[in-house]
Amino acid sequence: MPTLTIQVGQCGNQLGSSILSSLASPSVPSPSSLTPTSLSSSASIPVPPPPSQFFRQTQRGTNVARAVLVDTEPKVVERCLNPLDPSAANFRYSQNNSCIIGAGGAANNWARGYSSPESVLTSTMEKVQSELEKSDYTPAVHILHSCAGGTGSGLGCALTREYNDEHGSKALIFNTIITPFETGEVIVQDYNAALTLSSLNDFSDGVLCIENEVASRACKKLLKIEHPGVKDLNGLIGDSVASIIGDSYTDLQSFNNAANAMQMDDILRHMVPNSYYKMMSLRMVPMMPERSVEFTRDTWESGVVKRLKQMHRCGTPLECDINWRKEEDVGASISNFLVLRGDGGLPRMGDEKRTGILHLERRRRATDNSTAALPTPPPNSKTPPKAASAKKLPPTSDVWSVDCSSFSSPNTNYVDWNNDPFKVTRSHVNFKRYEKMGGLLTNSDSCLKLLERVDNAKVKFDARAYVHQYEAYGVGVDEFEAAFLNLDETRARYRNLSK
Amino acid sequence: MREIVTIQVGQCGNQIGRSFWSRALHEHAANSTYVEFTDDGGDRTGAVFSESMSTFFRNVDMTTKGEMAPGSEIRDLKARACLIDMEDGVLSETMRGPLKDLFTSAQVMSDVSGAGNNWAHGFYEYGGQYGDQFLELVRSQAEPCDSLQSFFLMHSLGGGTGSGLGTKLLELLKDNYDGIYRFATSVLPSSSGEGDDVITSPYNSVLALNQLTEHADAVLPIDNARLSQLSTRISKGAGSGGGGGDHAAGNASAAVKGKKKKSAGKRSEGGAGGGFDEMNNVVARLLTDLTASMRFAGDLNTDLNEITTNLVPFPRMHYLCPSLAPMGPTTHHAHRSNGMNSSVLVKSLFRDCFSPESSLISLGEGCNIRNSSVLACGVFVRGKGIPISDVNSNVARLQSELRMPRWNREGFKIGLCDVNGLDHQSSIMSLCNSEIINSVFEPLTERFYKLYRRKANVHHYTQFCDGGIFDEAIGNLEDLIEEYKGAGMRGSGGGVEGGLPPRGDELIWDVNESGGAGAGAGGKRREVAF
Repeated sequence: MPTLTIQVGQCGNQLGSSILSSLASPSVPSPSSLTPTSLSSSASIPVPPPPSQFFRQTQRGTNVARAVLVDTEPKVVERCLNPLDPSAANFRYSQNNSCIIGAGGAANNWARGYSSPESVLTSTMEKVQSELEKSDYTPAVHILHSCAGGTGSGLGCALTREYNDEHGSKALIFNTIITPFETGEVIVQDYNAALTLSSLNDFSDGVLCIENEVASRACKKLLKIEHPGVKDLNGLIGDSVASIIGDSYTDLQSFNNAANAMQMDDILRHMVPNSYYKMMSLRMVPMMPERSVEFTRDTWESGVVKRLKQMHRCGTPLECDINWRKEEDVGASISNFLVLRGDGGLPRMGDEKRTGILHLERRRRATDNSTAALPTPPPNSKTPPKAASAKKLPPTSDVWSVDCSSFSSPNTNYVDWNNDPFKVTRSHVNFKRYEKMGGLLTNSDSCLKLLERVDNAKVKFDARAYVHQYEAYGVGVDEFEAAFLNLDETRARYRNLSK
Repeated sequence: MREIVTIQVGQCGNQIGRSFWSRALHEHAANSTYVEFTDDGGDRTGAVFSESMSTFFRNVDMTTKGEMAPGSEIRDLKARACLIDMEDGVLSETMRGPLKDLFTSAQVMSDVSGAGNNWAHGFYEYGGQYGDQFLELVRSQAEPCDSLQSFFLMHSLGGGTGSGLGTKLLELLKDNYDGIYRFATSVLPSSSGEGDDVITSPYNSVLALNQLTEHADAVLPIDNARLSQLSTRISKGAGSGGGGGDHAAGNASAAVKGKKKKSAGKRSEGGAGGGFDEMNNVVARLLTDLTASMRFAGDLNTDLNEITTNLVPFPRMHYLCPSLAPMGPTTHHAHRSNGMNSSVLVKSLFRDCFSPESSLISLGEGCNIRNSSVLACGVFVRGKGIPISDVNSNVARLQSELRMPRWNREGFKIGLCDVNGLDHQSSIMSLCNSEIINSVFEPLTERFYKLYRRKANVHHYTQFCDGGIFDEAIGNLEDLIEEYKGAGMRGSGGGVEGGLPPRGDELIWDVNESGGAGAGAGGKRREVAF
């Protein structure tokens, strides 16, 4: 089932192209696995097709993103559409699917973006409609935007509202938003963020909040980039989002069938069982500089699952902030979704060991010949692909048999009203250069820290500073107060989870 | 894509305009790209009319009179400008001078008699007489725009035309182009009155400020005395060689066009000697730096309308005091910046920019950015390869050291542009919405009352309007002064939180600062010497 991506504003467009290129890029073999033989044969390694959920293939075999690009200025969108853009080597955007809205920009003003004229919204929704018509049924849409500036935040919310009005009964809306640095480049960002969050509470089905601050720390501390630039941040965020939403499967059976890959709407239904709680956050393990990857010989249990669990336990989004002494969850969760990827898709040592690739081959055959899709017997899981290699690996390296019970109740503190709080999906295909990686999407009270930043907006509002700028576009004192109330209620609900 | 229509009014406005256009041309000449064009028969290399040029210029095909879109070859560049004066002199100089090709006679609106240094004459008499013609002129400039972003008004407040007619035009723009931001660059007469040869300039300024407070979206106040100090410093520093400031406008437009033209004309603008030239050049630099981040690529692009959104917390308090650094001549700074690593360089730029030396308004005695409350501040950095992290760390330091109000502790807007300005490899401009503006307003009030107590010259004004306008205008200004004093205290909590005391030699803010007097939390503000 397809998922439509809508990228709005400068940040949304940069992020969108980063996520999609991460989804479309084939896994890169780690340097250690490249022996002369495999190097020479690497040309013949079949590249796995990008997930059909996010891309459609033209007759010529080009992968076209199911995406609509919206911005008020052409610079970023043009870069996305440029076929020479290296980040989009494995896919391209449809040239017709871009919408540049003049009107002088949104001036960092949420209200100005949100109250964009009807004509702007109509023309954008027409583009959306024409992309939707390219497939039978699109059960989910992924809207990407920032919440600091005016275009992404204001227009992004307006488009979410429009989509909800038109398709809300038959499709789910997933918003991924980037929250600004605490001392950002936009003074009114706290207003914009508060208005964005409150509006999405009304119109979205799930909001994944990614903090620029955290991404920047991750770049510095984990990827060892001294002065991370916008590109580095987007690359990191793109990878972590893609690690969650890319194709993954509940069991080996469905992996081999190429059926039942976890879809965006499945994720949303699992993550947001109750529409009062829509805020999600994301953790990913490992994050490390490219040069360190080949020296890593982590096991699934201690290297990935245990670390994710401890991060979740402390409520910290980063590996480097883990407090290993914590033995109980600090907060309560509503739902968790864990994705494990790796240990399969790479060529290793010799051709006959390319089990993962064989899976892919079989999978493709199954897709090509879907009427005669015979269940392929699972490969002998007792002989993991690397067993034959010179390095001795722990026996649990098979992704399908990793024990994730630490995330099940009662090992993790879940609310008592959610019967199915934890889901794990896996994929045998390596994620980019990582041999083993895990991504965790969590709906828990760890979003409270972010919601507390609304208080900054309230302080501004008490002085009535900048309010006149918003009033000019229909967001007056009453609207601000309603938004604050909305967020206060959300906050109170999340705070009460652990009580 | 995002256009600005410039409206230059009066003698001062038009002189600044000349410096500005010459500078804008040079800047684009230095950054233009040349490609092969093979349209009508011959192959030739020509300069491309880029997106960034289209902010200030139109590209017109003179044979068809058609507008050419960005990406085409440069044919005839026309400034998106309205040139207005009620005397003939400066305008006809412009139209004969090296920049003449930038304007058509249809862009010019003039009279012969002048406004006699009388705000009311300009505002009421000429305003009424020329209102419709002006709107027609603006329409002709606004219509070819794809997405008009703002109007740039350049004028002075001390005389009659720029001050009176200029502010009237602002009102007309507000009524007719709602939603398009109005930026005014306003040159105020020297606050001490020293060197000011217009007796009625306090009247004109106060009456004009009254209009600016109501009808502009943002005002960049610049003070004449300060400008002349700065230009003396710059020309002294430059020595007789004057290497940095030699921008013949004709050369520039030829350079932009791909050297199709022979360099025409030397620097003949100014009319009042080198001092004025240098002064106008400073203002021109301010305006090009202000718009650099919307015209050229950079890590943090800043639109003009974003500046208004971020720096104007309350509608009337839209006076953004500008500072530029480095202020010295090119050679001096080039020498200094040699071998500096980026973080040392950025730190020194920040230090210079936030010292009173760099301000374009005269600060009252003992008054500096350090001991006044700062409502919001914009920092716009130009130069290749300046990392955002260096800028952020300096901003973070400022945030803790300036007296920001409780409701705007993080009140910084940052712009980062890759393309450097003409004189410097890297430079920085700041706009401070701060209480320091009172060191311009307060002496002006004083000077106003000196005349008004005796009702001197009032009868010249009452020819055109009701005398009540005087009380209204001065009342409005006094309110504004009070608003600036109290703005930091707004909100429920109240209280401006003081910055930290000066931290030794880490950042030298104010050479005159005596033991950090007045920098304490909620302490008594400075004493202004009139």
